[in-house]
Amino acid sequence: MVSFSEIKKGLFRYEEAVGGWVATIKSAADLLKAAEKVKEAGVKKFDCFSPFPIHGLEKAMGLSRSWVPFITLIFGLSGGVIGFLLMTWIETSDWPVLHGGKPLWAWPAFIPITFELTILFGAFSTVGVTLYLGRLGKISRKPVVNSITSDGFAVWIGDSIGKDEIAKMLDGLYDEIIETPDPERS
Amino acid sequence: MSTENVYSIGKPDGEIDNDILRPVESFPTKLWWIAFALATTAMLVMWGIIGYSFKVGLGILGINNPVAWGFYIINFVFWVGIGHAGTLISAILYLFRQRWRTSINRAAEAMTIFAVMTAALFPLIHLGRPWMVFFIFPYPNERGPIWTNFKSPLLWDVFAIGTYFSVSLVFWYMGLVPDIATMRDRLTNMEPKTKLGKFLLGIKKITVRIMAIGWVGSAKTWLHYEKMVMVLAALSTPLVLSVHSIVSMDFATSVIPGWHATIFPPYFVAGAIYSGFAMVMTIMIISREVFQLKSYITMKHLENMALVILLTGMMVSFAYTIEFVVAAYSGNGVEQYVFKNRMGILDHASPYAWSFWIMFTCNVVSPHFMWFKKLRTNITVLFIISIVVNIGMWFERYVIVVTSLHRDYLPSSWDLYIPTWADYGVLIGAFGWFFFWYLLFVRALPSIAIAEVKADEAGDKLAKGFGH
Amino acid sequence: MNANSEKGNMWRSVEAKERQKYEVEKASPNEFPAAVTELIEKGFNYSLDRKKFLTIMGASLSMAGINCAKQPAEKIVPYVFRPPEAQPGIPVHYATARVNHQGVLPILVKAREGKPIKIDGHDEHPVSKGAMTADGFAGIWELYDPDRLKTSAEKTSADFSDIDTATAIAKAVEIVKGASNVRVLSRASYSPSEKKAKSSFLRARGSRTQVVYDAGGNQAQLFAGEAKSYGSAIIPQYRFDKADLIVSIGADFLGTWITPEVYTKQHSSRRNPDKNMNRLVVAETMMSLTGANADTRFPISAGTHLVFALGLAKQLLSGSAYANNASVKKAVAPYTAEKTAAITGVDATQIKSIAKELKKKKGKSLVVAGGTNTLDGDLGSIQVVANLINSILGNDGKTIEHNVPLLEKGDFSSPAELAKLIDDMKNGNVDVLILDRANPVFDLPAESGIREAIKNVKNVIAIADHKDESASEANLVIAASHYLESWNDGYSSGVYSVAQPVIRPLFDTQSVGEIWLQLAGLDSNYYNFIKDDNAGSYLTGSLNIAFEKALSDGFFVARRGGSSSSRKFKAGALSSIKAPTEANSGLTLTLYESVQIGDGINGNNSYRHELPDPITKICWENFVAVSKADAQSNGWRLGDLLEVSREGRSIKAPIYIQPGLKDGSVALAIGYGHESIGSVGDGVGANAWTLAGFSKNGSTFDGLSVEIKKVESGYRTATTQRHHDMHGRGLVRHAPLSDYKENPKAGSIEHDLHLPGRGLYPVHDYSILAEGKGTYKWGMAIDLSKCTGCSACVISCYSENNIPVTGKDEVWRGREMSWMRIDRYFEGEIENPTAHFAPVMCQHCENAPCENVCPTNATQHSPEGLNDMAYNRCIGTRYCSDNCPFKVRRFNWFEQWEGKIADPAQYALNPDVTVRGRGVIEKCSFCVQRINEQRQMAKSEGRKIEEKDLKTACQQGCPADAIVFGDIGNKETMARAQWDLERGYRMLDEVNVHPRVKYLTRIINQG
Repeated sequence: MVSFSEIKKGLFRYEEAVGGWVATIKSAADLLKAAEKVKEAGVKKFDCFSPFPIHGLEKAMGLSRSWVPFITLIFGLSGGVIGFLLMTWIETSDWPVLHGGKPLWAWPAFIPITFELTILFGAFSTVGVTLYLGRLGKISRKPVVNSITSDGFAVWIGDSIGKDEIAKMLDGLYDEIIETPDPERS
Repeated sequence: MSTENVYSIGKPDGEIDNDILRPVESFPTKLWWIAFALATTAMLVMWGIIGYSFKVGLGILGINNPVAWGFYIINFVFWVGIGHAGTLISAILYLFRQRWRTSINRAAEAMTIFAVMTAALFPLIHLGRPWMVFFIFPYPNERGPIWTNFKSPLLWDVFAIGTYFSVSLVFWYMGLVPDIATMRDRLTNMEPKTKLGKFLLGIKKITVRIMAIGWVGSAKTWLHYEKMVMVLAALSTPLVLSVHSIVSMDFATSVIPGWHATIFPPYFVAGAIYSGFAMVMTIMIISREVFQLKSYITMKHLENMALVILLTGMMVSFAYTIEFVVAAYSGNGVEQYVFKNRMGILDHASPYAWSFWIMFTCNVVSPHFMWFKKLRTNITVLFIISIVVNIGMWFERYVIVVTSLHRDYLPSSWDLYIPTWADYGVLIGAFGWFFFWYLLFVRALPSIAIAEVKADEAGDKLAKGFGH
Repeated sequence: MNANSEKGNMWRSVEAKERQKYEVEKASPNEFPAAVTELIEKGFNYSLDRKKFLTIMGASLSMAGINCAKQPAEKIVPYVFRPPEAQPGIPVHYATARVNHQGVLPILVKAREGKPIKIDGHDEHPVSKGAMTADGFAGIWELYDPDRLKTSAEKTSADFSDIDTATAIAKAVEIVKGASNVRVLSRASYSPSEKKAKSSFLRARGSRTQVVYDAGGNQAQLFAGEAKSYGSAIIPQYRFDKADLIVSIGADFLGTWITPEVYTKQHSSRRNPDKNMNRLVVAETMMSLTGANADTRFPISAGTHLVFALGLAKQLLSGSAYANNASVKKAVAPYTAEKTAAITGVDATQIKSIAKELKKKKGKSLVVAGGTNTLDGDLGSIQVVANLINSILGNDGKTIEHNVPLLEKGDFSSPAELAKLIDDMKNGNVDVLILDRANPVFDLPAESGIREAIKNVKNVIAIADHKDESASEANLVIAASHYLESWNDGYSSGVYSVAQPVIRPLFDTQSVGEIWLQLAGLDSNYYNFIKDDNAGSYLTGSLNIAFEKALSDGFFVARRGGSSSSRKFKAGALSSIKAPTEANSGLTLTLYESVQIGDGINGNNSYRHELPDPITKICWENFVAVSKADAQSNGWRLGDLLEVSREGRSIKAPIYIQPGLKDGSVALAIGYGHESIGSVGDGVGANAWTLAGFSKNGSTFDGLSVEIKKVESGYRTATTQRHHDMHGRGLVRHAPLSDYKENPKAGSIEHDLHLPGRGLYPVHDYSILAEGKGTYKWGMAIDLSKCTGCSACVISCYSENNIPVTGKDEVWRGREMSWMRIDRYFEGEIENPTAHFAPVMCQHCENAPCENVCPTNATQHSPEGLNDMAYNRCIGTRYCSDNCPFKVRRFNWFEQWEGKIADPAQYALNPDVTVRGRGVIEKCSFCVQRINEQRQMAKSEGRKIEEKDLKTACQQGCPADAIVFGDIGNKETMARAQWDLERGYRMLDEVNVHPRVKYLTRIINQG
């Protein structure tokens, strides 16, 4: 039996950008390079921040491919199947009703609803799984730097390595390196 | 369209924020207040009439036997159609990597939501017993096994419209999240003077924070987010096509001459996009003027829309022609009579021929002005045509619903349809209802997708060059 | 004092009502077990446990109470085929009769819980054989008319004050006692007892005291005509069933003339193309129901009916017994075929050909003439000519029987006597005028000056059921009961009927007989008077037994009819005849009686007004019918309001462009335009008597020259059918008899050749699904050769199925609620088109398009093939209505009952049929309540439903027997036989909806 707190933890199991260092970056191009470097340096705990999606960043960071579409497929199909079976059961066995001389199991008439249900289930499962995988929903969360949602870029490094090492790691790409306060430690 | 720089704004990201969020962060202009007042009054009139009809019955409308469907259903089809352009822009053009959609899709999607909200009103208020509306939802109940009729196109509508609305809504909202985050972080450096100001800002901060669902622009989130957008677009595309197809089946699956035409599904979809784009055009032209967004919604955008209107306009004209050809070819006297009656080429009077000819001029003739670059790059011309097209599309539905019903199989049951004040009141009120929401939207939320615009801008800068 | 009126008072106080109920329960204790045992026998609940038993006890106790409380004091005897005691939920049928100025209409009244809810024809009656008219069915709403006089009234100074009827009668007796010159103005009566009671009042005051007039004029005219030509003042029996060739000159015997219901039955019995089919030829001005059903119709100019008759007579004269008779020769001399043609507007050749046909059918033909629309100021003249023709053809005694006439001792006064009375009134020579259910102020020609005259009468006593135009001129109004509330008897066609009340008077009223008894000062109650003083002279055997039998049967055959010798025609009668000798110029008006309103005496019945005119489909109005040419030449359009004026008097009525109306002729219906009859009737239409002519030789309704001018346009006329062309869609199919003889499928149309087979789905087989779930397969067949479009079925349906009346504005919007309508189409050139009728109700399609589209399953198909409608599951999307190719579904646009229906109108509702609320669709159910009632009966008796037990309301209502309903799955049934006929076709078969209603092609006998 899973306790509610566990579920909550599971849902928001997000690697919060607390503790360690945050290096602010000038441009999207630099962020790509920086991500590259940090990955090569073999840093475990790190994340990049940008006001808009940057193509290739996931490769640069070496993130694995998103499996959102599979979820969509599974839920979508099951939605359709459930719908069709439900209609079949209702029209043929639970409450068979004669309409305009049509057979009870007039399957062509079920197609539109089956289709709509496929879409409905697919779409909602997609959003749901994105919220989960994207670790969204924790409204108290703050961006590492306020400008991230406007025009700022940043890399956060959680591993316990010194400021100068980070500076060496991404030389010329950052304009400043700030230590992020870690509530647990202080 | 290619992704060369015609659409690039060439402004730093910070300024883009300022431009797009100006209407949201500044105090409403007088113009907005006037518009809002008008919309609200119209809306209230509509609710008044609806309330009255709930009390005394649908008799206050002009509908009768044989014309048991009138303005309400016409409006329903019309508004559903309007909605389609939004989804088309946000989904189909997205899949086709049409970069010019970026700066108009947010507004277009919003239009979709509100149009569907308007459309969804009518099936409810046209019921004889609206308080019994729950009968059309299939759910296990205490009345013994009693279910809805899954063979009925109206039930298909319930599912189609329901799915369409909810999916569009989440799609739209998820698209908003990063921009709401932007708003959230901009609010932190705001300093209200008055106590009331503080209070209101507090409320706004909380709402925005909740709506931003903790977005911090992490690359890990962006990864899944981008996939989601892609998948939703992929789902919405068949969805939007299905919705108007199903709406068209209300007519196509019937036995009424002028209704049971197999061409209806594609024809309705084309028509929907046609009217939808016209509506987007109207709204865009207004908002770019009012909110100084000319650099975001450029002439090029409008021109592209104009071309879409031209294309879909011709598709619609084609559908009309086919309808007549089929009728002529069918050898079915009743079918042929209906179409002669539409055009008013009978030996006796056809009381609704005028509506057909209005439709014809507006939908078949007017789009052809778009062939000329001079005209399709002229704001006034575009504005007028966009409105004319919508009038035409409303009359298309009028022709389908009314002229087909008023003279069907048995001449003995033929009768006239004369709308009443209530019909007109609700017709106008529906526009009020729509603009009520739209005006609130432009004040409350960024009407251009900030993050996407920035992404495109960055895409131009980055050597690789990417973007949608 | 009479028991009825005493008990009548109980209606005015609740406690009294309770007391009454209590008394009744004490009075008849043996009734409840009876009710229960009845139930057990009937097997309505096999396992009758204690609980159920008590329930029933309780129910029967209360119901029995109520029900007895509403039954008259005297013993009345229900129809034998029904359980003698009224049981809750089980209808009791009483055989009785409507006896009024129109004649004796034998009826069967269906009562539930002691309240009459439906009037039907009396199938066993030897003459009517269950035939009914719309007029007959409408009676039920007149019983429950909220505007009926609830008590008597007395005029003190200016306005009326209520007094109870007993007092009123007492006062009347006083008034009469003192007065020297007392006169009675009344309508005809077919009741021997009434006449007797009255005569003992009149005897004291001289024979000329009473004047009997006939507002419509049909009967008086026939009566006078017979007297002139044969010396016997009777109304003979016309045997339309015996005639091979019928020629009607203006006589609308299928619609309004004398006894249309009987004539329709007789006529339709000869409309079977497979047997010896008769032929109907009609010459008339305004297209009447009869004209619309004619095999050949001659439109003739207004005012030329007599000329046509004479012209015809001249053609037939040569070689006949009367060929050398001077006065005959003199009379017909001017009217050569050509001359007649010139005047009437018919081709000379046509007249000749008709004459030829008639000559071939000597003794097997029938020529009828007359009717309101032929009254030309010389009462009976046209009858004389018609009688001459019949005598020439030797029809008299064969197709016209006179030994047992329809009306024997008619008491119609001559027009001269009426004129005299009015003069006397004018000159103040009348002290007391008693109006016996007469409304002369309304229904005498304005020219007679009655309006002014009546003001000069010192005392006017009105026996009336409404405070109508004349009653409001009276000083004393005595409230008369409805015929369903009063004892009466009737004698007509040799059949004696005892009319028993089926409910105690709802208000403080008394039956007319009762009233006359008291006025005459006879100390007896009417029931005893009928039984002891009159019945004896008609009934044979022990009076008590015979009377009881007469009560339960509803009639007693006193004298049998049968063919008789021909009478001697008095040629002299012709000498006085004056007919126009040249065609009339300018616009000429003819006034006619409409099927739905008749002479307007029941003008406060909304159902009559809502029933569309069979020919024009206009309701809630009378209208000026003009020819298309006249409309065009005068620049009149539909929607114009015209003012018709004659000799300074004028009325306003909307225009209607009537096909088959001669140019220069105009027609207008009488009976409309009441000023004070009630909330419904007041101000509906215009009073056409305003324009009629009046003289001591008779009123003039035909050939009145008038001026017409347009006074208003954009006037909204309520009509249920705006389009009259069939557009070659083969909806009402028809073929000449000759073609039919060669090809039984004659009249079918080309697209029948390629009817669709199966669609996306396989065709559903009902015979299989019916197994186990009830093995019936309901279907209907409608014979268009028989259907006359008389609309009796429509009204019967209204009454059976609680269909609301919507009113003029709603009908104008196209929102009438009728479950079945009669489609009427015109074919051929507009000068003389052929009219076609088809009753259209829900066709119960096997592939019903309405069912597929209903989102909530509110309408679905029963295994027996009924298209069911669940009102409380309906949310009112109206999609079914849109998708119905026949447009027979009706939507409740407003609430029609809640707070809309005034007491006591609710009693007319049929408890077996749901009353539909606002916002739901309703439609014909094939009278499913009747099917299920019979199913229960059959089940409890362990048999199948028998065809004779089950009739739909429309089928029962049809006087022409055109509608047959039954189990078409069963080879034995009549319905199946009709269904299988080769001339049967299904409307809109090409749409592939497979209707369960089959129409039989209309066969026209073109001679």
